[in-house]
Amino acid sequence: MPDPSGATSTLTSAPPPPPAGDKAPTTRVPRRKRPFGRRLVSGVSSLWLLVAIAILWQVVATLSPTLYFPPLSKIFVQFGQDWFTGDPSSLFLSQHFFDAALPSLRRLAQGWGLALVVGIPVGILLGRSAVAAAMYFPFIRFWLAEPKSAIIPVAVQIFGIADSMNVFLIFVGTVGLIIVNTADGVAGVDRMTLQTARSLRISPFTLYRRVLVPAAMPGILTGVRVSIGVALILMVISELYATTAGVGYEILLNQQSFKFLQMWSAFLLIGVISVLLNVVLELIEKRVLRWQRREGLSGQ
Amino acid sequence: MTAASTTTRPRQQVPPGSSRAVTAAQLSRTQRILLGILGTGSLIALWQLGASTGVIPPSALPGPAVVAAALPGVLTSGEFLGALGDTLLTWLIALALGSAAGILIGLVTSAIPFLRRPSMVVVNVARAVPATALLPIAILMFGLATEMKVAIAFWAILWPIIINTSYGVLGTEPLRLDAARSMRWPWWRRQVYVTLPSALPSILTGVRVATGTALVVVIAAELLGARSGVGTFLRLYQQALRPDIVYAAVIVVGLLGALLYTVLVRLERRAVGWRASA
Amino acid sequence: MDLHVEGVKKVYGDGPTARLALDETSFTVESGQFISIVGPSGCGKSTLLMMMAGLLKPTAGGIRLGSTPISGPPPGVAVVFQDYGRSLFPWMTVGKNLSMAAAADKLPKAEVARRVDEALTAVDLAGTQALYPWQMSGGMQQRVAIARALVVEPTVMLMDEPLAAVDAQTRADLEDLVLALRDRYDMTVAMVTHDIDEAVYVADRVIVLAAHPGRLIADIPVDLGRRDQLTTKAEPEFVKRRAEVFTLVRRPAATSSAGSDAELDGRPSELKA
Repeated sequence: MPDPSGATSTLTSAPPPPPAGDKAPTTRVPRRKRPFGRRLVSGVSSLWLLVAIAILWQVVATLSPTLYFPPLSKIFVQFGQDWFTGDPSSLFLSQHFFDAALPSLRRLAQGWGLALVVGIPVGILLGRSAVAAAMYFPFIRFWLAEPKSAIIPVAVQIFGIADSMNVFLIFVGTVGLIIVNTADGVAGVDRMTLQTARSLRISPFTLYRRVLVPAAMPGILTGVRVSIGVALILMVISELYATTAGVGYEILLNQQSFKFLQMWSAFLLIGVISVLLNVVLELIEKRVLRWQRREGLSGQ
Repeated sequence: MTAASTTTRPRQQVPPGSSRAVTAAQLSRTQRILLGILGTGSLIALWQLGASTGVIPPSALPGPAVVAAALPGVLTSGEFLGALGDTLLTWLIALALGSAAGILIGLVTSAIPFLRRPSMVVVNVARAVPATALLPIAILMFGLATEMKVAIAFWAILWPIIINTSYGVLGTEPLRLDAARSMRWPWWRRQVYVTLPSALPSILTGVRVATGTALVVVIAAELLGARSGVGTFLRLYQQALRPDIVYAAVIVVGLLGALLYTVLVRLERRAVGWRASA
Repeated sequence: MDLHVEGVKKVYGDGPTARLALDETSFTVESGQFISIVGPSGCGKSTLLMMMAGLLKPTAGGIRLGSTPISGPPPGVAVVFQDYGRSLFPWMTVGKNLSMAAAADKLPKAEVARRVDEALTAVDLAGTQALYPWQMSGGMQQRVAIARALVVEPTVMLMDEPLAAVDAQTRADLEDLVLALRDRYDMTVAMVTHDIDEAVYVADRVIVLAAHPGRLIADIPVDLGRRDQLTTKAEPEFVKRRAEVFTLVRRPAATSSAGSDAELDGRPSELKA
């Protein structure tokens, strides 16, 4: 099962563009850019269901208090207290944030960063060489199909309960996705583009730098985007399973000591981190692909 | 179908690894199989080399021969097979429930215009927290039995399936809907005969992605406390310091995952065969 | 039944972004008549046809079929869309595509089967029921799309540039096919096209629209008798009407870009011949 990407991006919720033909003789009214005021109204009005659910939660939790589901308002207050009581100099982030969330983020950056550094070159290599691809794809397929959570005991076996265990797990969990998507992107580069490039007799380095990598960029970025979701999942499970610090550990600790408000506040923090990461990646992707398109035009 | 593959389009969950371009190279089938054996063999040889030179300590990763020797024992052990059966059953229940609920919710919310965007907002908020983070709350609510595993896997796959269903629905060719309207089909018939088949490829992709997610989450739940299943088995033998058995089991699970995936891809191709040349 | 278009007007959107697609337009298509609707891009010809089909609501005015006002897709009216690839259902076989067209009429099974057979025979595709549309060539698919419209045995057939997506030879064949079908099924036909030769060749009457805003500028009768691809286009009546329509359609275009000429001219292949 290659893609345990339960938490990949797609934060924008706009419907896909109407697939109308050039003259669009369909009954759909042509879509036009609406004035900002109207777009604001429709943006706010698309929140009503979320608000309704939040209110329902609040009301139910207040009327029939259960231990596990505290009212939302209290969770938000707790969230602020837990993470945002620091000075302006530290972006208002509290000491608790640095103690609990920073280790998680560091491991995420190390494991996922390593996966990018290793995965992209390997992917380019496999995308360029059909022989290398035929040799190693069977194993990579198997690896993608391995449920990554099953690797956790192995990671603990190898590294013990240490940061390197989490980093390793995130690395092996994401590197396959990056390799496959990169290879796909590279192998999909138009043959004509390559021939054109060759006919210009540019150096191999320039070929990679100016032609192959930009042309493969959509595939590479797909790998990046899909893998961040997996990286987050693995970051959390590995911390829940065995660790001594991190957001996952925070959740477990609060659960075991019956501090449910703090537990929910940690859920919320993970959610915020995941949304932020996805937004950033989406922005980067838009940026990079726009550059790539321009590059493609000027290169012709 | 439309070729709406612009980069700015909000994306579906597209499973990677559909590396057509790579394997469709000029190699024959036999060549590819031989190269595959060669490549996998070279990795195993590397593993063996690491083990026999002592670069990889046997406590961390025993050599391939040791793990291979543990394989028959694992495959015939009632304990492992029972655990595997337990995991697969849980997985299947969660997948069936999650797909049914996700497809239904996806169809309804995208068929009703005023629910479309609001429900997408809810979906995106709900799935921001990785399902595995919610394990502690699931354990509090459902205990350590199968219900807990099903519940958490259900939660994990519900959102991607809703999203894929609704992209499929919104991608329905408007001209086909017009054609159906001109034939005076009532609303329900347009949904069943036009919208649903149009959305099917996207729905099936969502379900395929969900099968992977569900397995990951079920095993994670087992590792973290559930009373039975492959995860429990792995945890037990890791703590009992039997890495050979742990590795053998991990390999079996991976192969099984690959098998399930291949079967699903085949089924999917059959179900949406019309799409290949459309 | 006569088809009355009465003061029909269509505006897309509202407020400052509203766009007038078609200004007040009136004409009547008599029972059994074959009309073609031509005009440059953006003249609202497809919009007009979709309103006649009951798929779009006019902003003002109305359309009547006989004495019944059209408020939704009416019974007895069939539509053939421009893009067969996008209007046929690729997940259904040809037979299913056709039989489903009669689903709303609740006919006995045997009757549906008979009509499907007849429609396929009429478009020269007998025995293709088990195929899927994507297993066929473009011209064949468009014939399937036409056959699908015939299954309801329509009194009115509306065609939106039905031949725009096929090659020149297939197109000539299909023009004759449509004419033959009109006689065989005794239908009133309205066909939108951007091809002036085609508009004059098939129709008893050519309705000419102008763009920005879309409006009716001429209603030209064509008196040609039996059509024949070889001789008709050399007849003085054809040449005269063609020139007439050509001038009308080109006039607004001449002041704007020259780029649209290619679209408005006759088929290049025909001109060469």
